[in-house]
Amino acid sequence: MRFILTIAGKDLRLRVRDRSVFVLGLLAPFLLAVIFDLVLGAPSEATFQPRFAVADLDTGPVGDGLLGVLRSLAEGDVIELDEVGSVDEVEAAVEAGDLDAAFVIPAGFSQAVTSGGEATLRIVGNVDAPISVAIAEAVARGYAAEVEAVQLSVAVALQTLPSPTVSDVATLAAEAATMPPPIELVDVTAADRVLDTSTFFIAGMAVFFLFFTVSFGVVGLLEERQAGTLARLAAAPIPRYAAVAAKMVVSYVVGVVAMAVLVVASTLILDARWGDPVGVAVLVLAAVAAAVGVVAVVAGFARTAEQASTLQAIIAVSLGMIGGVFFPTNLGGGFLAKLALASPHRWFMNGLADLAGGGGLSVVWPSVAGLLAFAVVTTVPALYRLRTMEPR
Amino acid sequence: MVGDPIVEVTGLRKRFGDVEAVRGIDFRVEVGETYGLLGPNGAGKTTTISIVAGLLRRDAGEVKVAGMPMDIDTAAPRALIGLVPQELAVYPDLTGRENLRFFGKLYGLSGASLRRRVEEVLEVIGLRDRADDRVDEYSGGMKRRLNIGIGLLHEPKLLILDEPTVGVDPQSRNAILESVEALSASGRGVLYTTHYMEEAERLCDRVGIIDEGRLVAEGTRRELIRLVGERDRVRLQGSGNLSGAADALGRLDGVGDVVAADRSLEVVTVDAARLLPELLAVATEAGMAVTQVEVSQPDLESVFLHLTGKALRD
Ligand SMILES: Nc1ncnc2c1ncn2[C@@H]1O[C@H](COP(=O)(O)OP(=O)(O)O)[C@@H](O)[C@H]1O
Ligand SMILES: [Mg+2]
Repeated sequence: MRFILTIAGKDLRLRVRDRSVFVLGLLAPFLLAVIFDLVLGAPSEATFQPRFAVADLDTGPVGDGLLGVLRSLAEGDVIELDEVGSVDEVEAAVEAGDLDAAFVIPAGFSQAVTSGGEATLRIVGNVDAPISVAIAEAVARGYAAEVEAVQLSVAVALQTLPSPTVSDVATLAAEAATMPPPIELVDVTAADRVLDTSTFFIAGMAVFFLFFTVSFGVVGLLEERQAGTLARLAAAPIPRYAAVAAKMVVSYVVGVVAMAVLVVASTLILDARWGDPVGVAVLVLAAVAAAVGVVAVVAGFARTAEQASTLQAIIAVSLGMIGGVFFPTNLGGGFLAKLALASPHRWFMNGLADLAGGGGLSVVWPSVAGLLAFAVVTTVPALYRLRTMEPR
Repeated sequence: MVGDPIVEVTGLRKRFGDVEAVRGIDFRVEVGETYGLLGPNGAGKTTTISIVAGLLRRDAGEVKVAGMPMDIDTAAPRALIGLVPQELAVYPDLTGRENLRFFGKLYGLSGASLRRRVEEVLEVIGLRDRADDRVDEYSGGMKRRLNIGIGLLHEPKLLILDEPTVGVDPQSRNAILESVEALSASGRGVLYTTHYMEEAERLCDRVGIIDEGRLVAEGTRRELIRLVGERDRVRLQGSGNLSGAADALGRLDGVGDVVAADRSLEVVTVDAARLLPELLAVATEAGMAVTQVEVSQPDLESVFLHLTGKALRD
């Protein structure tokens, strides 16, 4: 045990001197999570509510239809909605950042639609709120598609009527426009995505890079073999497993420290919400054990440090992809969801998702058990291979 | 156990896949003796001492260190051995002192005795001034000296040095040889491998000549030279009909083996001084244009040549 600590202490000193462990273990996941969060994430998740306004200059049945859709969204608290009178007013508000997007229903819009003419619905978007603008666009396009369908049905209806009048057309259009909201807005706080996006990105990046961070420790064994120092360790009057055990201890310690720093930093800086601290701690400890096992088994079957690092990178990326750590997608219940369970990443993310629903240790234990199973299944053959590795 | 040799190797064999690196080697190193394994690259020296040091599994044979069986899982004899691997087995990102302290701890040193030994070794290897510099800032010779120093830390009964002078400048090499001489004078057993004949001659009480995984001869320098007939060597360099000249020279009285190399003939004779004129005449007559003549007293190089038909270094 003393010798394990002596070797581990030496390795940790080397790792601290070699900055790459900081880059891969802390900087990379943190920066990537921030970038993903900025590009793909929502500004503030739980209270995420696009602020829209509508200027209805039409006051016709088709415009009223859109207005109805927007009002029902506002009633459901999905969006915030102001109804204003003039285009200038909306543009100023968007410019000032008071609004994310505004719909402008131009005068004569209903007339144009019902007479089969060209009708343009304008959206004034705030460049700093790309997600909200995208949602506004989706609402508008969905409605426009609906209107087109109405127009078709209108045209058909007109042909079957003996003497069509303008008021018939208006009635039909109005009827069509009061149909239920034409598109379904995806609610980002819906139950199938339990982790908010900020937490998802940092957690996903943290566990993804964990598989690189921990590889430093065990790959060190192959590096020492190539450098010749493993011969010295093997010649010393210490137990044969001491060197391997020390490398795994180093991997484990580095992995836990990196994860702990990421959890704390993202909580403070990114407002990530990891959940119950005890649950998170146990989940992290289990995840690091799984990661160490995976990289160790790869090192056990590689001939050189370079080969091991390459293999580990391939495996880390593959496990990350099938484990779905890059994008907050809903895997559903099909093949992909089953495949994802072959990745320790998924067990970690599932555990966090369970924590996000409230609760602590009691809710994470299935994920912890899954991660520990990965750890055992990989560590046992790894130990066997590495312990009997000849030093040259 | 009194009287036990510090190393005893019998019937040692080791193969790596298709390569039979060691094909039945026997030797012993007595307490206080410096034993040299002399042989060309690939002869099996490193493989042999790696098994002696308990680093590699063997396929057959027996290895005892201080009377104790040595295997890759046995711990007991290891504390008696100081290993200086052929490759530079030091951590370049640590300082010289940190390297010494780390390996000293692995050999059970700690506290004041560790500090004392580290200082003593730094003194011996002449790295006191640079002890707190990182090893990657050291010259090749300094790294070699540190590599040796690590093997000395725990004052081993048996020091195993695997080609410790490879790749160092002549000055450092001399310093290394001097410190090995001092170490063997202090009464410990030394197992020294080299492909430099001069080093084996200078340092070793006894030499085992190793080639292609076998010990082809063994003994003191005098014994080995007697083995090949205590004869002189004449080296004729030149061009022309070398094989014809070799045949003709071989038929002369007082001439032993004649070995033809690329542009020279190696003639073994009882008395070079007396036979030299005749050798030159016969060689010239056979069609060889001799451009240079070299006469030498027997040494281990010629022993090796005699035994294996090839030079130690190509
Ligand atoms: N780990 C190994 N795997 C395969 N072949 C090896 C290995 N180590 C040594 N050999 C081979 O065994 C032979 C003896 O090598 P070695 O003991 O290193 O010779 P020396 O130290 O005398 O130069 C060489 O042919 C070498 O290529
Ligand atoms: Mg060698």
